[in-house]
Parts: sequence; structure tokens; C-alpha cells
Amino acid sequence: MPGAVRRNPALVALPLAAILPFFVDNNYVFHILVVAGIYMVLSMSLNLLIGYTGLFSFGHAAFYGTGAYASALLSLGCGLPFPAAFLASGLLTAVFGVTVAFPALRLKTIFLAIATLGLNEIVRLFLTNLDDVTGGPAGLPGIPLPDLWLVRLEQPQDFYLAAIVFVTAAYWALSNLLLKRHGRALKAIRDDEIAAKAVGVNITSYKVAVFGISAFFAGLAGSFFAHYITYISPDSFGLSESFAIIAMVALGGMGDLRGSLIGAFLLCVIPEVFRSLHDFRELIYGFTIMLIVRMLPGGIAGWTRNPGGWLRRRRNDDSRPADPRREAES
Amino acid sequence: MIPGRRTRGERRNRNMRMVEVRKASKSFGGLSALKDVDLGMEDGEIRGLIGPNGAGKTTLFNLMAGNYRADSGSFLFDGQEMFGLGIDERVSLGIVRTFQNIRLFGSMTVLDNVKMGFHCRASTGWLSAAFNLRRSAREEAWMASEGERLLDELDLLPHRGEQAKNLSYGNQRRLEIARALATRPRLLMLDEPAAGMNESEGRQLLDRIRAIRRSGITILVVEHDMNLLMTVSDRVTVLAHGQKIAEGTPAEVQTDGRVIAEYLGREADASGH
Repeated sequence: MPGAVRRNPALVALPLAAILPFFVDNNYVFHILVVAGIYMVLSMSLNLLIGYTGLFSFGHAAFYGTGAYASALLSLGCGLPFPAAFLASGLLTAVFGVTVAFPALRLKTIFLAIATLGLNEIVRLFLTNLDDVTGGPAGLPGIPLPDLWLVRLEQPQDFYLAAIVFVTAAYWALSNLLLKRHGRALKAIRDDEIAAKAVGVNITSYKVAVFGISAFFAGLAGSFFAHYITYISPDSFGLSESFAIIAMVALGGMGDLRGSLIGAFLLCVIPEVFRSLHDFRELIYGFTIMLIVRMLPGGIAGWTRNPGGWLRRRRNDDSRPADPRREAES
Repeated sequence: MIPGRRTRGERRNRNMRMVEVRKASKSFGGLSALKDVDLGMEDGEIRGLIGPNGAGKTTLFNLMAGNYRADSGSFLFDGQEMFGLGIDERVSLGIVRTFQNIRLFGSMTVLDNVKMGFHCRASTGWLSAAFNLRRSAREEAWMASEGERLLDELDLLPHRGEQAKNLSYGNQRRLEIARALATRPRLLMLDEPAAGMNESEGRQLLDRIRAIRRSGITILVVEHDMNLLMTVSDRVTVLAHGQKIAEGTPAEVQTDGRVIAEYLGREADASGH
């Protein structure tokens, strides 16, 4: 464990955030941070697919929504206590992720992106039109607040502390996973699928597993969201939600978990700090994706590893067509 | 020691040859690339595979490694049928290949590339890794130390922390061999290992191939560098037009009429066809 902490400053920084309630007493601040925490888990789980394995899944909100609705229905319909509904919704979403993975894995790159976009819409339409179960467009109100045996989460401050535990646990588990042989195998698949096969990696089972794990964490995040807001509707899980998560992953850095924490934090907090920007949230997400992809492909995490590198690289790119002689010589 | 690792020669049948390809055929949309080719290799042998362009060397190679599915024929490895098994299953049974156009995991470090070779010999699951259980940590430590030992053997240890794509060409070739050896193969298939190498690098490669054989690994080499191939191989198999036209020691093959005809471009009937 101490070794893991030394390698991962985030494992210290995240729990340290728990002292914030001693200095701040503002429900609005805690609300923003809880939402940021949920997005941190969502972007870490999406990073697993897009950043680490190179699977362009553009419909992450489908898993997020599945988890939220599963948890809400399990506690409203079956009366399951929160911890059970929370875990069950994660597992159910994982099963859904695995089911989706099998047909989706016949597709690559942009085609997978389109298919997962479609999946997102399908899930949203199901949630909207399955009135008897999901409450249709009106959604599901009155989802019970989490009861954790001894403590009952009520105030945003309580949820803030719970979110810290949630994000830290997810980060710890995922970073362990990615540091070890499974994580290496995922990166190997991203780098060169044929070579990964040649050293004995079963590509299909790895891709299916990573879809399942990613969906599991997205499902947990959905459950957390449902029991925090206590009301969910299909609108919360549309395409714009998926793109928000993609923007967070891109901003933080593809293939870097810590980057996802930063990306989610920034894109949740910035529109709040500059209240006037709030209406332009989606515009900000769109521009973030475009600018990052164009100017800073490694995201913030990539930039911290090589600050200034992006300027140099761009200059090289620009100079190349301007001087054909040099290219001919080399 | 990692649990579940297969001990060498566990299912070995003494009467069988290690590699027994029989009547392997493969055609691509009506174009027959390989027709009824047999290939038998003894345990511990270095076999060269040559032939003019389009002879079917790479096809045979890909059939054996599992990259292509054979139309017909069989491939017994240690008495067990390989056609029909996936690449990952063949790797875990001890068949591994390298690539003519080097295929490394470019963004990963040199050491991580070799650790990927150990991947198929490791057994800890996702949960064990996620919860950082002791078993998984022990296995990672084992991969790291074994990986460094292997890198040391191939003179790559100083580069262990570098990204694989930043290595020099010769080092990339060596790293690919190191990664293949990490899978603990019993049959190592090298696809043009000397491509792009200069003479001294070629000589080093020669020594290395022999050293690998001394450690008990059977080797199949496809190579264009005739000099290197004839020096290193115990026996040579010659393919032309998707069929085997000769097989024997390098000396026998070099004097074979059909082989000379194929390589010098004379008509086949000159060799008494």
C-alpha cells in the first residue's frame, strides 16, 4: 500500500479533500463538487475504453443512464436498500456492457463510435417510451436518499464525503488494474492489435472485459447520481451527456486516469465559476474537444509530462510544407 | 514459480516429431498460395524456409502461427492439432512468431514490451489486480525481474525505461525477439529477422539464434539473406509456387537442380521435370 501511495499522489490528494467542510459551509459548493465527483468516475471509466484500449465508445451516457435507472427501480420497485441497489446497478450495467460489446467489437474506430452513438439514442428512447417501467419522459421522482446502515446521507456535505470515498475507491481499483498485466494488455491492444495477438492476448475477451468494467463504474456513477438528485429523467442521459464525458477525457488526457480527474473537475467547475458561461456549457464542451484534439492531443496530463512540447511540435508541422527541399534531403 | 505454468515437454510423445505439418493448403479467392505442403521438424532443430517471392513462405508461416485459417491439412505440434486453435492458444502451447515489419508496442516502455511476453504465462485475474492482492503483486514482481534478466541477455537492459518506438532499428529487432522469448516458446518462428540489418548485426543475430537453440527452443526462420540462412540452418526447406520443391541440409539444397532452376529462372524442365 505505501508503495501504491508513493506512485499515486492522487491517492493522497483525493482523501485530503475531505477537510474542505472545515473551511467551507456552502451547500452550493458541495453540490458542484459532488457532481464533479460523479463525472470523475464517469470519465475514468470512459478513459478505460477510449484512452487505454483505443475503443471509441461515444455513448457512455447509455451506461450511466442504465445504472441510474437500474438503481432507482431496484430501490423504488423492490425496496432494495441503497448499498445493495448501488452494487446491483453496477453489476447489471456491466452485464449490459458485455452484451453490447459482442456485436460492437466487430466494428473499429469511427464505425464503433457511430454504433455506440446509436446505442446511446436507443437507450434514451427506451427510457422515454417505456412509460410503465421508467415513468416515460416525466422520469422517476422520489428516489430514496442513501441509507448506509448507521449514517443517512442527506445534505450535499454528506454526499461530498461519500463522493470522495467513491472516487478514491474507483481511482484506486482502476489504477491498480491498469498498472498490472491487464492494463498493459489493453495498451498493447491499442498500440498494435496484431502484435498483442501474437504474444497470446485474447483480444476479444479483453475488449469484452474492458467494456464490462467500464460499464460497471459508469453504472455505479449513475446509481450515485440517482440517489443524490433523487429524481431522474431520460434527458439526463442523452448524447450531450456522452459528449461532455468525452470532453473531460480529452481535456484531461487520453490514457491517463489522473488526467480524467482533472478534466472532469475543470469542466464541472469552470461553467459554475463563470456563471455567465453556464448557458454555453455544451458549446464549451464542443470547443474543448476540438481544441484539445488539434493542439494538445495528450491533454493536460500529456502536457505536464512534456510542457512546451506542443508548441515545438506544431511549429515543426507548419514548417514542413514550407521547405520541401529539406524534406527531399532527409 | 507461477501456478498453472505448463512444464516443458509434459505431453511429449517420443515417436512424434515436434512439428508435423501435413498437406497444408491455402488459397485466396481461387489463387492457390499453398498446395499440400508437408513440413516436419525435429525437436531442437533450426530450419530455414526459403523460396522466391510468392512461393508461399509467408502463407505457411501465417498458417502455423494462426494468422490465417488453413483450407485443409493438419499441423500437429507435439502430437496436438494446431489448425483450428486461436493464436493465443498456440502461444500458450509454445508457438510464437516475430514479424518482418517489426511490431512492437510503441508507446510502452521496453520493459513493458517484454512483460507483455510474460502475459500468457501469468494467471492472476482482474479482481486480484484491482484489489492489489498479494498474489498479483508477486506476479508483477516476477515479471519485472524475469523481464530485466531477459533484457540483460539481449543487451537491452540500459534501454528498459525508453519508449519502444524510440529504439534504434537493430534494438527494436532484438526487443521483438526478447518479447517472443518471454512467452517461453518451444517453437520460435522468425520472419525475416535480418531484414534491414548490416553485416555485423547479421553476425550477431546468427550467434543469438544459435544461443536460443542451445536453450532448447526449436526455430523456423524465413530469410532472404541466403548467406545467413545457409549458415544457421540445420536443414532447409524450399518452396516454389506454393509447393515444396526440395528439403535437406544447406549443402544438399544448394546443389539441387530444381532449386537452382527456380532461383536462376531457368525452365523447370531443365531439372528433369
